[in-house]
Amino acid sequence: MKARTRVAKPRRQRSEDSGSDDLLRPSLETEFDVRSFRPLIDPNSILWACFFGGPLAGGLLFGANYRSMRMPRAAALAWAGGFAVMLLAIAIFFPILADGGADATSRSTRSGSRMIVSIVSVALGSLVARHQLRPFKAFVNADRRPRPLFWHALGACVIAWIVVIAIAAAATRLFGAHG
Amino acid sequence: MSANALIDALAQALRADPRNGPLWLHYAELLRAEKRDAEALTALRTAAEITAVRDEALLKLIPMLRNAGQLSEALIRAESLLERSDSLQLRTELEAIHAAREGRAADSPAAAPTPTPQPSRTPEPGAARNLLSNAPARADDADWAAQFDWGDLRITLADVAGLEDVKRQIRLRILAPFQKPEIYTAFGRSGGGGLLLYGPPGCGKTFIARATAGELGARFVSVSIHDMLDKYFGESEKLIHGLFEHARRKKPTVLFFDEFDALASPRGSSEQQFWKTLVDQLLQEMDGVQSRNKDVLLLAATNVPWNVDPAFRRPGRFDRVLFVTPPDDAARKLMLTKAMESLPGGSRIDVGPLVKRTQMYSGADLRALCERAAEPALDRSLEDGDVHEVTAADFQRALTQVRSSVLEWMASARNHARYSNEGGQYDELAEYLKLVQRW
Amino acid sequence: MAEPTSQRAFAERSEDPAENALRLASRYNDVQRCELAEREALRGLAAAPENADLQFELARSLFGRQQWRRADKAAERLLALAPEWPAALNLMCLLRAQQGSYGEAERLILDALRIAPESAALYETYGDLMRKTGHEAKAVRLYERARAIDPTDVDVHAKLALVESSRRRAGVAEKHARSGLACDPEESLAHAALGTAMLQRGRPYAARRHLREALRLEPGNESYEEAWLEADRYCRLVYLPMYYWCLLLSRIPGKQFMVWGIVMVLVALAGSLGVPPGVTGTFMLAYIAFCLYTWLASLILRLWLRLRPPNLDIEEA
Repeated sequence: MKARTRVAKPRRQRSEDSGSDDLLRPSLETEFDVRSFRPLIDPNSILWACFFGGPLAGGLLFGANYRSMRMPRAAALAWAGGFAVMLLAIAIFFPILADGGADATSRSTRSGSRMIVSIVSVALGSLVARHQLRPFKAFVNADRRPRPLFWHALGACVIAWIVVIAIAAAATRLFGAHG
Repeated sequence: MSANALIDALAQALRADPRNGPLWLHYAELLRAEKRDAEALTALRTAAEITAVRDEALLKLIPMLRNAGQLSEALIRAESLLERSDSLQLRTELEAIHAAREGRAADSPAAAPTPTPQPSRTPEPGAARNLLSNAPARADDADWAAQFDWGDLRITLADVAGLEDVKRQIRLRILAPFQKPEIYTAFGRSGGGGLLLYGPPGCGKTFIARATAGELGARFVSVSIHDMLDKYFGESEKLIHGLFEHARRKKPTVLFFDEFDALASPRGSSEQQFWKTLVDQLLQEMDGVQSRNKDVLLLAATNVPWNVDPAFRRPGRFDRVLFVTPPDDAARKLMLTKAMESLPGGSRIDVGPLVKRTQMYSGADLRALCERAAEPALDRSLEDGDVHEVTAADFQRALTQVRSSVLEWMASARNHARYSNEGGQYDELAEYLKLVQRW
Repeated sequence: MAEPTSQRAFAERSEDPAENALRLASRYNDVQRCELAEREALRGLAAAPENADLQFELARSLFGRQQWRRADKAAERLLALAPEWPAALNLMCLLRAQQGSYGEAERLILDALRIAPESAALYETYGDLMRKTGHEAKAVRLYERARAIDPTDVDVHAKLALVESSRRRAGVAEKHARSGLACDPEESLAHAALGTAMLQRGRPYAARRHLREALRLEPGNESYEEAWLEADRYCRLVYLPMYYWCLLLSRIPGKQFMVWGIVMVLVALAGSLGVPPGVTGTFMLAYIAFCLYTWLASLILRLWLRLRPPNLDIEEA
């Protein structure tokens, strides 16, 4: 791309009122530098993982993205948030999911609740994705290549499913044992 | 039959048999007897191109050139003939030419110390300077001779390794109108016009331009952006006009513009008025080439023809465009053999495998390869004081270090040939890219 | 006797090698022969090492050659020589933005704008920076400021169109692109911007035409090539429904997830609303078939493109 670098002289013509111009107020953090970023995953693509893997899968990937952006606190929050939402979903939907009824109503109730969990995950994921979109754009625009989604998403989904199954199994045993 | 009728008949016979050397010599003799010296010179120049009668034609041409005051060409032709066949007559002739040139230099108040005809390969950057001079013709010629690149006219197309297709095109489209003007006149055409050479860097565009001038025996004036800018900033129109006026007076002349894109980039993109004016003037002068400037040939070379203002491509300007390809197998073989001959032990190395592995290497890349390959042997020699030979292994190692510089050019050229080939201007390039698709 | 032209020329000629080198370097940079510009700038700097203009041309040439590290050093040296030269700050900003050091790039461009608040080029650079970092609303305002200062700058019109396109305001984008083309109908960026706007307005054939034109005018631009190939794919009948589907999805919040949700809700409600199971079944089958098409569309297109590759002919395109 042709770089437009020419700016007419004179060299000094400092504006007195430029401080009052809100266009000339900085919008970026002084240290905002994508050179330090590790490759990011497209935050919009992570929504697929939210849909199929639930809040924990989404939280894992969003957290990984925050870590790549050198934002460890946000990463921890994303992981904790994903885990918390997953626990909440299990707590709410556990009675339905634990119901082993084989009739059509039970089946549709179970699939409906799974759908609700997926939709809520995607909705919450969209909020986080919005937050990650700007740094991601900046990252891509600095000619950096994003990380491919598929294997990471699959890994996150598998982890999320294992965790959900483990918790559900533990809960079944626990609540089953206590009647 | 009158002499003129005989000349006409001979001209007709030569049109039918243009490679008949003795006939050209006879034709030249008749023209000379009729005091039609300019035509006789053209006929002798043509005869000098035919191997069978070349030396005989040159022996007649050189004194005629001296008498006509075209001392530079006379000197160069005499020296080149002397290299092939030494004779007392020729030595006397050479002395006469030197004496004539010295006489001129002494006559001219503007003349610098007498130039020694050094076979320099470096173009004189200030070559255009003297062309602006309005001094009388004799001094002007001396000025011209003073700035002349003496090495040029010794280079002919025979010195260009490979590139047979390019040479064929030049012979057909550029040289023939000068060498066989009768044929072209019969078709209502004349010599001159413009030829734009383009291709990857280091593939010999400038060399081909010089060889073309050498082939024609024409004056060769190399003009670069340095000449325009270094010394004449703000005088561009006058400089360009002076340059063309000189070329018109001293035809046949080859005006060669190197790195033409820097001089003639699209006017819309030029930020300074100076460049816009310069391009306008250049276009104006080129428009005059066909009508007023018969026998003025304009050659230009560029690596980036797409950065040349499209106005230069219109008929009557650089309407002929030639793609100078990277050296083919035969050319690379020749280049490598030549380069390796100068290295100790180089002549014992099998060139074949190297030729295969250097596809898409430019001439400059091949030179770099040889230099790089010679480095270890040089180091070894410096270490123990003995001259060590270059080995095939040195070349294999150098091949991993010296990469083709042509590929990058091809990558950008590909898009131009594919997406911007309006009017088939890059057809040759597109064809070539199809041939070398795997690169 | 009249004074010879050459002597007049000599009278006005510059003997200063640095000045001559500067002119040449500047010219070479203007015509994008950056390797030659670098050579001339270095030649000039050998004669005048403290010449900021030459240092600027050197940095500019290295930027053009994408030799980032060397360009960075040259620009740093330039800023040491001329710390308050807006052009130098602008160049350094471009370099920093290229490297991804956006925070520093913004600081530099703001410094430059404080020195030269009426420079359209500086607002344009700042707009580019904001666009790159996803601050599109601010980028629009900056480009508008640049346009107010220099209404003839086609690039600014085109960039306004591009940023509006990425904000999904295709109508406004088209208007800006057309006003850019009115300034210069041969500007590739304006054609590309109009092509992008057309893609968003659901006119893939017009988009393909404009993107092809952009490519003709600037064949070396990879992003134009990519965009043209994409528009060409959208124009294939096998892919056209997919294109319109994607266009529709891009306007629905939640995209395909929302559609899935709606379909699930409809199916779930169908039973209670008394819709015959046959109708629900057919609807579901049709939906699944369409989903299958959307998943396979790229594959079908790829096969199709093997049979009918993109047409390079400008007229037919």
